[in-house]
Amino acid sequence: MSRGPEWLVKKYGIEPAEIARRVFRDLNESAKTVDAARALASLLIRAVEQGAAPHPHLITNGFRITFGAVAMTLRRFEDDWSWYICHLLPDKKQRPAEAASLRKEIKDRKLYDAANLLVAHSGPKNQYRSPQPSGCK
Amino acid sequence: MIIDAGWKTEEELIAWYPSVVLRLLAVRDAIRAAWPGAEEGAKAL
Repeated sequence: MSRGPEWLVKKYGIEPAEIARRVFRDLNESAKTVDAARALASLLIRAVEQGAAPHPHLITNGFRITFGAVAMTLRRFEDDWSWYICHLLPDKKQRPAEAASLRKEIKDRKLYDAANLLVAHSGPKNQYRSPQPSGCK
Repeated sequence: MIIDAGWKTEEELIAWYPSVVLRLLAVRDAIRAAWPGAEEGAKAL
């Protein structure tokens, strides 16, 4: 449920225009992070093809690092969506189809849980809760 | 692959990344359209 920009002021004490600036910046940086992950993973594949990696663990762990960065970026996107973005775009006609598509993929591929696993949560799923303070979908 | 999220190879995963970038940028642009001046946030870095 979207509660609109006014709710953001009440909840966080920050003007919506300032939150919009921060969200724009963070989405911009997130896109750069994913693009950097793509470029680095491509370099790792080239290193494998050319036999240029001095130790196999540099390749396997390098892939983990790049995927981990993407999973955590998407976990943050999912939180940002629920906490801020949906309130900045209360009219569903303002929301791009790409947002729904990305959120569906995050859900279907269980990337939120994957990011949690990468950070700290090695225990069973029911030992932690994903924060959803606004209940926004 | 450390996490089974449906990709079979690293090449498949790499091919998926650009679609993620484009979708993040589409959301960013929707914020800019709804909140003129939001792009100023990126200049603060």
